[in-house]
Amino acid sequence: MSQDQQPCVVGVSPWLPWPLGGWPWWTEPVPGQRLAMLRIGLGLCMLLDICLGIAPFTLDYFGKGELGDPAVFAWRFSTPRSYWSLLRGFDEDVMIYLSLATFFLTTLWLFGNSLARLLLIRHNPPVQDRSGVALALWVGSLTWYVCGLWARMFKAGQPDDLAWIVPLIGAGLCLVLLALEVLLNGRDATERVPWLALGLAFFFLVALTVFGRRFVLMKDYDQTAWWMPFFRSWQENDALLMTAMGLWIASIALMLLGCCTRLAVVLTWMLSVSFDSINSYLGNAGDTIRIILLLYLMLSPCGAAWSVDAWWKKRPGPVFVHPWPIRLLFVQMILIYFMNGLYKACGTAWLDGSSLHFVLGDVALARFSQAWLPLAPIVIRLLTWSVLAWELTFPVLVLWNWPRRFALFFGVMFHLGIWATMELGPFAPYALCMYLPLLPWERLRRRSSRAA
Amino acid sequence: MSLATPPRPQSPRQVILGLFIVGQLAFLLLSNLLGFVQWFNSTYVAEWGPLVQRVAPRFAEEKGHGWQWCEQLEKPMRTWTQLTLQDQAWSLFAPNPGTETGFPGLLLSDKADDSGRHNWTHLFDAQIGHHVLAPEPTSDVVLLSDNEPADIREFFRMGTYRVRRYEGTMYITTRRSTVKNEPGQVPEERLETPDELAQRLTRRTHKLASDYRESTLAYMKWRLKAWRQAHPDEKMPAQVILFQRSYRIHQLDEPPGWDGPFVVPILRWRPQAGQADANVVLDSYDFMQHRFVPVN
Repeated sequence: MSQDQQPCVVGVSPWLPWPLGGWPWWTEPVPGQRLAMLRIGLGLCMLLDICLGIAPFTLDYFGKGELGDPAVFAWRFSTPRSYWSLLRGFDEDVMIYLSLATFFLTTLWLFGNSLARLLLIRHNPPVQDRSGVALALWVGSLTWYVCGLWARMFKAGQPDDLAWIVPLIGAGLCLVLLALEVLLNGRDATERVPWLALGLAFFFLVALTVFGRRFVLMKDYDQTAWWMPFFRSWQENDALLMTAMGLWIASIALMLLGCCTRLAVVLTWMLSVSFDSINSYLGNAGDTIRIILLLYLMLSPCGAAWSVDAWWKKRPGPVFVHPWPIRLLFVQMILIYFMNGLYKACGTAWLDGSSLHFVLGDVALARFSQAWLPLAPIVIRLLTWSVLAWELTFPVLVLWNWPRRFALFFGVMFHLGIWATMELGPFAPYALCMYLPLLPWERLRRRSSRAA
Repeated sequence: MSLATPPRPQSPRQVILGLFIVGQLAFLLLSNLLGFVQWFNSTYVAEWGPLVQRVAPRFAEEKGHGWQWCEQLEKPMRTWTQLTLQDQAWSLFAPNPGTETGFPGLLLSDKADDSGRHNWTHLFDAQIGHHVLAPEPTSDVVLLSDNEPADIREFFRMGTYRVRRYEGTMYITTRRSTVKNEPGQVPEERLETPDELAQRLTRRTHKLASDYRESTLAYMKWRLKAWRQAHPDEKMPAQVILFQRSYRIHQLDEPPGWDGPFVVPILRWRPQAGQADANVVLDSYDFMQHRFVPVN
């Protein structure tokens, strides 16, 4: 293999304790196409689901005075629950605390990194691990917190000096961070000072301070001002709600194409959680699977192959990624089927074989009338028992090669069967997405290379 | 002396990612396991309680160290579940699928009525439970669910699933449930008596008018708004009644088919112009008194 064709492993290699660290299943990199296909499959399913099933009814499902009126789901956002949504507004309690927690953690991360390197510069310092993402998160969380303070101030109609003091403290911390970086550069010239990133952050926080001061001096807050809806729940304003929906669709499209992949997947995840949280009565297990898949994609280099980002970077050799997202997903898959089997084994209808008769006969769930496809009782019983047996034995079947292929094939047929006979929305497509990283998509690349 | 370079230390990012993986793995295993153990313990306490008590002292009573540890473990996992919205309750059509089904509907009536009584015939069927029969003909407007097929023997459905999920939150199980007899009595289990069923249904409609007041009211308002937009010349109804049309699915050993629909009243809302949502009082149907009663 030439130097150009050397395999390249993309992404952070996680530190894993024993026994995971010594287990090749958890540590041996896998072709990047596996994660890429999960990203593409999920993106396609989401585009169809959101564009056809949710976006046309955005105001009906999430708008004020409609099915998802903020008052209907207010219970989800009050203590002791920790649900959150960007669309509930800046001043929602849980969002205030989440932004504060993110701010403190990223402050520790940024200062910890700089200080550790500064103090240990001549004594085996830790590896450079400063991340641009941390600074963006730091500024983003502080901005959210400040907007929350402003929203509360506008709602109460009382000026609050914290509105400009907090961003001023942020700007001060930014200067301290810059000073640490300059010191570090003074002691070791190879250390680069991130002038642009820190400079932008500083001027942004100064701008927030100026705005905050101006808001405090205003004293009288015109509730009809054009910018006021921005500081209330976005559900109360149709234009803002539709903007958020548009942003969600755009982020899914970017994720599908693999363009600015990390940012696109993070945005898709945040908006998915936000929309699902403000009307939790619309979703089912399929939507939960979607959120779980997005969580893993968000933290992994899913744009390493078959993406605009990969095309831009022009990596010459085969691309590999660390296998942890696929392994966690596989464990999740095992638990989904096994737990389903366990709960079913406690019921009488699954044991006596009549369960699928009632499932298919449920006129609220069925895709078509059971009268069109009357199955003999023995067929119903065999189908019911086979589903129960497959779910209960799934964790064992996947241990060996051939039984694993059978179990996965049965699973695909099971979900296709559900999709054909039941109207459970996007449950079957999202569940089938879990199977995508298990297929050897990299062979397509090899085949096309050979053909070329 | 070895000249090999010491292994490169793990970076904080690698450690944090590793901790996330281990934590997520533990979360997946524990939340699924604990969820099942707690559900099993509370559901099958009568059958398995004595054995559970022998294996894990006081666990079946939901007390003792074991139960307390489970609850302590469950708390952070619940927070993680809610923050990341990855609910680990995997039980599709389990432990048993429903043997009946139903759709909500609205009845828009012009008649102002304070008594809460309607000119309905009350019926009880051993297999269906309580339901009512309205006199025909009537000037009332009936809005059926968009999900309810015009003919349950001839339909094909694509979409409309999300509203069906929402409607499912208002569903009431009208058929008689199995209840335990007093210890020592034979048989151990029996079906609810008509009075017991009426009490249970009354509790459920009361709950829909109190605990689920906002979502049921939002649904009724949403349907009414759509109807008024389609019929701008019609005046605001004096009463909006939420009801359920239930169907019993035949048993596997019966000829294939369904019984129904059977109409079951649930709630009543009397819309008043300009009334704030917070001041709206819903009336829940009382199956003992056969009338709507206000729920404060």
